[in-house]
Amino acid sequence: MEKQNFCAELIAPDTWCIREPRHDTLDGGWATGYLVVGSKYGIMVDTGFGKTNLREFAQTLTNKPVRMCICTHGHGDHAGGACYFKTAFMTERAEQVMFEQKRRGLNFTNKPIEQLQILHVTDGSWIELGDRTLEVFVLEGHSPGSIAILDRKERILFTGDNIGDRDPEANADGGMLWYKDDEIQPSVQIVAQNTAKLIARRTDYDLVCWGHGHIPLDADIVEYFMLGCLLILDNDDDKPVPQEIDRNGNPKYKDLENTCSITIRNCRILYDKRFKHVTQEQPIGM
Amino acid sequence: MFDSQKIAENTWIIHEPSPSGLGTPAAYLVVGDENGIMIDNCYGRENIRAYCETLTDKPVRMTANTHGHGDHAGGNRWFDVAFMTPMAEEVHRLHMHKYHNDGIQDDSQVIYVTDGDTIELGNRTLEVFTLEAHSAGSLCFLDRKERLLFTGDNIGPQNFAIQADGLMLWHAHCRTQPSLLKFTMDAAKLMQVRDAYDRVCWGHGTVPQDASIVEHAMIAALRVLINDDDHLCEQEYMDAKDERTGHQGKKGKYQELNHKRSAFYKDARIIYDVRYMFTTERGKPTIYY
Repeated sequence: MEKQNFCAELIAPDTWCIREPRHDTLDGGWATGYLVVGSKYGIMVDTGFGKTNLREFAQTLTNKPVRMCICTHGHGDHAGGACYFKTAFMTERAEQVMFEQKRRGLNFTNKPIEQLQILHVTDGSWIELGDRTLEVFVLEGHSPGSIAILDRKERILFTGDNIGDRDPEANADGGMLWYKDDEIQPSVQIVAQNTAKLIARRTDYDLVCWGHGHIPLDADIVEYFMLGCLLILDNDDDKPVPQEIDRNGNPKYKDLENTCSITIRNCRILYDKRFKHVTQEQPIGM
Repeated sequence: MFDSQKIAENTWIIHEPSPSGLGTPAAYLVVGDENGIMIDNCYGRENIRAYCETLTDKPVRMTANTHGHGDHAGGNRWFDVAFMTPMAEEVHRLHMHKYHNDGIQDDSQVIYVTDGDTIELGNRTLEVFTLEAHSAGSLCFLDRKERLLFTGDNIGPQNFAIQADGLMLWHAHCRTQPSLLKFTMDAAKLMQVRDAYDRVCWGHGTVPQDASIVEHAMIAALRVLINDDDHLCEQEYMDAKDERTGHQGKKGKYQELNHKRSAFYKDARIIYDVRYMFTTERGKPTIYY
């Protein structure tokens, strides 16, 4: 077995948080996945960068077979390790994003993903693990085709990078409605409508597990996020985001003129003020 | 007795004056290619169905009730079919005894509806949403064709002129309210389809309201839930005639004032009971009616 540098932490019965450091630095840049085990199967929710064999590592934590993974979105730090699994669940858009990221070398593995069986999920899909069921909600926000995953048994909501807290130490922001320059954000109205699906199920979960930052979070974060989205939609006084410097010394936000932010408690939402309401001419970004 | 105004293609708002002169209820006639339906039907002291059939040549056999209170479901007795929830039927039964003593029996057939049901009118469909707010077993109806949302008394603006408040999570006759969390979760269902409607038709307005009221109500509720906004509710007095004794005079609007709180956001105001903020049992709303 090759050298592995994952660390695992039990966060609920049969539920582990598995973190993998970024290849070039240890500060910040952690990719987080979750191993969720039911009475028959285990599944990885997000798969990290995929530098080393995540499936083998996850299999050491449980004696149930871990052959499947589900990706909240297609970015390299979440779908990179999908190649080690037999089956990967994701949305159609997320698959496109995954191949695009792979092509640009953002998931740090040379293992081919052409052999991987990819099954598409959408709103209302569910994955049966024995006595435990994962429900899928489409949640546009951070990346095209993002999803949130609800585990009613342990009352956990997995939100990927869509809903999370602001953690300057980990360089993490749980509410970026855009990603670098190559993806155009969905309109805030779509994000609000999607988040409303989670609010409507608010009594089914107590914890939020997301892709970076503090884990697990109190589920109040979903209310903060929803409130933020509604306030963005309802007000015209968009506040530009203060510029930050990333760890390479480069400015973090490129388009300061249009990038705005709103903060509700520990949740900060970054958005592009041109794309608040649904408009005809809005391009669909990749 | 009735007056009406056209608010959209094949859609009318109908008012019937209230006996006390305050809080005139509004009902809506929605007509498709085959059938017309009344969403709410005011007090129904006179034959509101016959009045509707003067506005359209399609049959108006059906009515749908946003909730069971007498100022919205009083005219059920004029119709063949009434769509409502089991809880609303219960409320309706409890309320109706104090209206109408003209001997006309309510023999309409009640059909229970719930989330996800649709009412087909011929090239026009009403979608049903349950919304626990103003009264037990309340409903909202979405009409995607004319982009209207019918909310009854559940979501509406504060209107001082007619002493109406669209968001009282309790009603004078009921002691308890649904929890504020339950209301927020139900309002989120309306947010999910926010791109399907532009105007809100509520139970005491004169004209349809801009649909941003749904966002405003949700913002007000969320701010209370995360503890950003909490005001004591001040007593308001209304000059009204008591429906039972006939006594005209000042009447306090809110009971148990020490538990009442109000939350504002723009035109939305929610009056709620601070004891019933969250569901007390996991996943189950305990306070209902």
